[in-house]
Amino acid sequence: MSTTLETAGAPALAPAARGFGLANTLVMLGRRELWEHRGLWLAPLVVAGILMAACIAAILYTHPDLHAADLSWFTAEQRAAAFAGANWSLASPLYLVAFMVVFFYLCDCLYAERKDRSILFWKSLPVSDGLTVAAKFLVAALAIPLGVYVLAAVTDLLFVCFWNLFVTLGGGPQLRMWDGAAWVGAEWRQLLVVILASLWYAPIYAYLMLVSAWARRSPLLWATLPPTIAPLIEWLSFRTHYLWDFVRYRSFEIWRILGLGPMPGFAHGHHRDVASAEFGSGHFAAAFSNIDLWLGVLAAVALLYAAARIRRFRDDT
Amino acid sequence: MTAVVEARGLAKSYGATRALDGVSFTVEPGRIVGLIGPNGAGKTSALKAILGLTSFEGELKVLGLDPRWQRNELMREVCFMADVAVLPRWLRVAQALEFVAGVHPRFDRSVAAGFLGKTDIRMDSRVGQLSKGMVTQLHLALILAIDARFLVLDEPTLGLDLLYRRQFYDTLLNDYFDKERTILLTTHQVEEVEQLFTDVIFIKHGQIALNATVEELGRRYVQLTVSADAAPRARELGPFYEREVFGRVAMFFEGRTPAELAPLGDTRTPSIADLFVARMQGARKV
Repeated sequence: MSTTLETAGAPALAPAARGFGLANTLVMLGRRELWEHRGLWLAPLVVAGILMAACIAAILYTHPDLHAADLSWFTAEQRAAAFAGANWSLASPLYLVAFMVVFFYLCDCLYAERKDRSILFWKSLPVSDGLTVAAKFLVAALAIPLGVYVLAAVTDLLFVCFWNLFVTLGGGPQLRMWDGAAWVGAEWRQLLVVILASLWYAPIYAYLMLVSAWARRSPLLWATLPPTIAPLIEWLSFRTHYLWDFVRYRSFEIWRILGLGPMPGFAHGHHRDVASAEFGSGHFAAAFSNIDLWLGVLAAVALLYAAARIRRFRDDT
Repeated sequence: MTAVVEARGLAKSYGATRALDGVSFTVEPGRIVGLIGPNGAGKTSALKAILGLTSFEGELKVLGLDPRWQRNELMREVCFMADVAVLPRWLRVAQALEFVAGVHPRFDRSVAAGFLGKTDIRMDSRVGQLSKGMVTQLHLALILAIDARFLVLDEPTLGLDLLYRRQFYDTLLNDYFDKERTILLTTHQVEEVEQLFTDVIFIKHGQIALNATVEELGRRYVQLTVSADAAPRARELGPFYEREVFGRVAMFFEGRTPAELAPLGDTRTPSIADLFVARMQGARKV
């Protein structure tokens, strides 16, 4: 009997030559998430399409008087700043909508599989709970932000192409808008902001996943109530606001360190900061070397570990 | 050689309810074992313990691994279909094949596609568009295309009509099962599958009521059918269960030979279904 059992595994392992590395499995798990949660990529795409359509419609229907415009009094620096500012203005709605769909996704991702009882099917496959949780987290914190980053860059390029075509045909060639160095610089800073956001918000993402793995029902409520009710209770009982300060700190502090308003591109009067020299390497160095950023990442790892443990040992199906 | 399942004093409680009350059993390689018991007897608890889906007390090894701490290794060798497992409604058939092929080294996509080819299931359908029976067929096609050493099926044909049930068991026996695989199966429809089993385990109130190979059953149990007037004489031989069938009495004996009983009436090896009823109700009478 022993020989038959031992050899039974040998031929069956042949398909393993197809390559079942960790990376391949992660990619498959990630694709699975995009199949289930189509809003993750559909919503940013739709918003990008609407933005493009709105911009084009605005240009075509307002007929800006190109010949009358004179931008000669702008310095090169100011032109670069305006160029980068246009870049951010197109990108920020995409990031905002991506952040919203990611929030709902994270609340749902470990809850839906229990609700529709498909979890036992997923668990019948040789994919560990840790890997599953990691894949879902990476979709939210890496794949979607980077995807939206690329989408924003493409949208911006399309917009610039359209604008330049328009001004060329409209006879205002001096209004052509392209500055390769400024564009690369803006894109590079935007990429750093995207990475910084994912690192800073990692513990929040992980917290949402923990709630999603734990909540018996309405994970959305469980995710949003504690950070709003607990500070209220604290204030009512002790007239202190440590919890509220903490929630605010974790929500916005990184943007203050970076020299932005509470939210990039949204706080009044901060648009120009994004592109300006203030937003230079010094602030990024301060942001990336902030101890709370990395403590937050550690906390995220701990919360993800807890979420994976709950998924592994929970028994209520 | 390591048994496929080795349970000693396996116990599981849900609050005050004792779902499994210290059961011990062994599943040897190359067997098809039927785990049979009424609802709430502890079947599902036993299966969940074996699959590392629930905590338990006692000792339990599956393919030499502890399902509590070595579940990930175990799932490479073990495949299962839980009765409550549902394929998610958003999943497309083609996606299901692609996903399992992407994460399971032992999955053969062409085999699964072959099974599906015999059904009316379309590759671009979503699970939500399929009938209940079709979802089960899809699930079974995925499971049977995995070259696992140990297959655990909890009520696999629930919701399938008779035709598909027959088809499934034929496939299981002819195309899937070989001496290197082991199957553990629970079902309510014992009559349909009793030809399939090499071993049966009856479980009742969290305890094992019977654990034997089918050959042993033939040696240990005899069913004697006698006319009503011959019944008192047969009763003296100590049947553990009897029931009336069309005016005659069917009696079930343990440890008597057919030669001994033949003069009294017709003897035969009882069916697993009859034995199950006899065992469950016989014990209740006592």
